[in-house]
Amino acid sequence: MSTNTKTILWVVVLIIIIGGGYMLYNSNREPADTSPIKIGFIGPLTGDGSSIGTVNRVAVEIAAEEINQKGGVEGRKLEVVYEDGRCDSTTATKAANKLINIDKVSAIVGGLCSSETSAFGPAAMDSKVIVFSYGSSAPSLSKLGKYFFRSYPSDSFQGIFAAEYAYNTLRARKVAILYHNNDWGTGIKDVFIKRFKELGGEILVEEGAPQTVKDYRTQLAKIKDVKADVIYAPLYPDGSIVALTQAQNLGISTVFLGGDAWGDPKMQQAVSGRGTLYFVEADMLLTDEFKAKILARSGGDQVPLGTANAYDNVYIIASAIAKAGTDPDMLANTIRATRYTGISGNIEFDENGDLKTASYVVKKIENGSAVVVK
Amino acid sequence: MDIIPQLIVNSIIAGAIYTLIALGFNLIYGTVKFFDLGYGALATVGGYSVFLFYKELGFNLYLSVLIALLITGLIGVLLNWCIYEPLRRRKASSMVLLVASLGVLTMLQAIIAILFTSQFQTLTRNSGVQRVFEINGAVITGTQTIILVTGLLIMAGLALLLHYTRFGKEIRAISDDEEVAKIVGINTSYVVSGVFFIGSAIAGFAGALIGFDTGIEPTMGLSLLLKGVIAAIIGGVGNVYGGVLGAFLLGFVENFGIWQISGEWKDAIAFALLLIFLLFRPQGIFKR
Repeated sequence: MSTNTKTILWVVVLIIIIGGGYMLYNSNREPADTSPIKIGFIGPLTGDGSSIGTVNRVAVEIAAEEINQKGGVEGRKLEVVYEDGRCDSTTATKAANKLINIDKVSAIVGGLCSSETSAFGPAAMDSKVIVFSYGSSAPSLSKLGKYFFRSYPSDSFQGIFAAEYAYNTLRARKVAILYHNNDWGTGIKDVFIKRFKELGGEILVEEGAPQTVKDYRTQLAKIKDVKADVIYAPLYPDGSIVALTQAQNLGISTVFLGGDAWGDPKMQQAVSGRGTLYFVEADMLLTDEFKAKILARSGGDQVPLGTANAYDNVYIIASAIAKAGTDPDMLANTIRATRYTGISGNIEFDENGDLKTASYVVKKIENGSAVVVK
Repeated sequence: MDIIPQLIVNSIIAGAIYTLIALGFNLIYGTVKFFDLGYGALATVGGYSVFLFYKELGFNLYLSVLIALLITGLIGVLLNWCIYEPLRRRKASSMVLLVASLGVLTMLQAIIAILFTSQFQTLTRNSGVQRVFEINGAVITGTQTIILVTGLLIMAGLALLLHYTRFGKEIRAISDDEEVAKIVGINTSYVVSGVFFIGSAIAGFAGALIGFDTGIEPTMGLSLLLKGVIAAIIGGVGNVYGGVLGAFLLGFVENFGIWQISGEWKDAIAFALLLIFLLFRPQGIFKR
């Protein structure tokens, strides 16, 4: 190698080092306060539960736009990255990994389904990312960690309410249970059984099935055989459409009491008329103005569960970031101290990030929609 | 009320559904000797074709089903031409073909999800009550009866085809030894295409009927295929009648298995049955 070539090589190396160093230096010095604040959204945008998740997304979009119109968070724009969680643990985990590692969000609004949140929650806790669910209700989520919050009540409330409603209002003494064998279904039916037995009721059979199953005939035949007063059915929407059709074919006329997943408008249309169908849903003080705002963009005729909560979550996160910045520990402490009266009601957290109180209503599915039972 | 009649009927319904899947699967496996996982996706394609023509475009029911059969049959032939045939000509191992067919399954599933969303859909136009027959206290719907009857008819039809037609004899010759069949002058590529057409159309038909019974979603193919494959293995893989027997055995074991224990055990029972057969009678009930 001639001296000339060597010199040229050294010059090239030098240029690369100096140039690279300059660029690194520059990128570090970039003023951080005008870059947008990124938060993530996870919910079922396709598949099971997507008629709920897509409306939830609309609420987040509107909240973020409103905040940005009012000048953003301390002058920084709020940017939301939307990912599909499909109510499914694997998909939700992939979505969360992308949000945490690639988009580097400081908080995730989501998921809707407990199967989503319980799957990606632990990884988010390890990466110190705030998880703020608007619809996951599995009691087991309370143990997730200090960066977890939810504006939707835990099923330890819903299961108790459902048991009391079945016993006191529906006057049921013997109950059969058909549930989906996932975080949400097993969590809620365990609480239900405990409370219902405390009240003096009897559980005749407990039949489970995986969420994806489309044949409930034998489970239903067993349930029909025991002649229960009420069938408690914490099932997800897609499975419910099949199960309730098969129940009707089998000639089951017992009253069904479902969980908040039956707040899915698509499912209500599909199963309307398939027997007496009640379900328990968190009570929300939705204003007409909010409903109109959502429906104008979603194009549907219902504001399903989680929508108001998702909207409130964005506001709570934005105001907490404005106060505490994006440091995860400061942010978690600020959110925990929040007292907020939002569209979904009074939001106040206990040490697990759960709501301190919750109120429920019972709705009945009829004419393709759901009405509150007085 | 005694639930045994209903359990028997439920087992028969499940068995009939698995029969439909196992029949075409066994026909294809018996001829080309590889596990065609893409077969599951063809059931999905069948369901969605009926959805498109019957529910979205408002065609007549029978016409829609007929179009669905043609579409799935042709897609089956096309997949064979473009993917399986070249691989087989290259003497690819059945492992390679298995992986290729897994690719087909995933690809078709993804395409359907893009075209039709992954929402769960029902095929029936009016959400009205289905016609229900009652036998001795047990209930079966009209659609389920059709599944049962057509399953048995297709089995009989395949038996006739395989034993009494020239085409069927050629299929059996290829199934015995493809090289020899070629030497004696059978146009194997033409016969294999025919097998893929018939097998895929059966899958499409199964998908359509199951769509009317419960509903359709892009991922329905894999779970159907799994049960169909278990039925095929129990009955004797590649054996058309064995598949039917295996399907009904699976249906009965699954449904009676959860008679006294809780329903979430159903899949565990089905796969335990598969493992028992694989360990103690790997050739299945009927040896080919």
